[in-house]
Amino acid sequence: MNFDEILTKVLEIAEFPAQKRQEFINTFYEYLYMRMVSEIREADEESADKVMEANSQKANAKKLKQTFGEISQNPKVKAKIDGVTDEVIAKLVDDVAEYATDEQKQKILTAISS
Amino acid sequence: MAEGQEVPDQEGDAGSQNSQSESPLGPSDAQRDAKENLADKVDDNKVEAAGHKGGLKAAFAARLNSWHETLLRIQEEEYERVQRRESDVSNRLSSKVEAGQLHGKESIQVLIQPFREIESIAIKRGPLLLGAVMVGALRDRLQPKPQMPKAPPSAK
Repeated sequence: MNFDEILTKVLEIAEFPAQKRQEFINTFYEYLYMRMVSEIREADEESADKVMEANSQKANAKKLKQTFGEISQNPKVKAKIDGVTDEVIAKLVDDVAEYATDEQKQKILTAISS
Repeated sequence: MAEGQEVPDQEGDAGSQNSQSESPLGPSDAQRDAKENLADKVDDNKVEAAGHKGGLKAAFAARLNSWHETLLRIQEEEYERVQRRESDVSNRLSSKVEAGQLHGKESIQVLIQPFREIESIAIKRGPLLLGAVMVGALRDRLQPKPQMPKAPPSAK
């Protein structure tokens, strides 16, 4: 299962309105992207510029992945990328752990195990 | 977010306090961090209130709202920071911002598409995808932890 499929399944189990599920997933990516650029900038301004520039040139996934590969040669930048990814996902998972019913948690565990 | 809930408006207070001591060049990293931490705390309080009232569905709705609000703030800050920088790259980016090519919801939607496609964002993890990070975190938090067997009562 890729991330989109997992998150869609979790949203279904949460009974999140079907017409808002895609907005939730899109906004997650936008939020993670902007948080990442902002955090990278704190470690290295030029690396953040490279990511923004790659995107501004409508880079494809391969080019953007290459850019991330280049900038993460800097250990501080790599730590920021990993840190913000873990933090954003952890917050989402915290929400599930705190507010899902036992039945919803069981359904989620079953879904990700299939 | 669930309707009708009341959350203290700490964010506004923090904004006015910080803006008083900002230099003309913009907030320092420490000021920005403090403001972000407080904004995160307020967001978490809103999600918590919604979650307690309406369960996971309401918590997710509040989380979505908080992402929208944070996105707007970060976008503004990022473009201000880019515009303040004196470099070839930032000059090119600034001109795109001024031309309306890098600002606003629609342009961000276009920009994140390749980012979304690569999925493997945590570079050090190599082939491990964002989905795998999510699955690992869910299993870790949701699976019941095995209970430690009780120690037998000590013989007296």
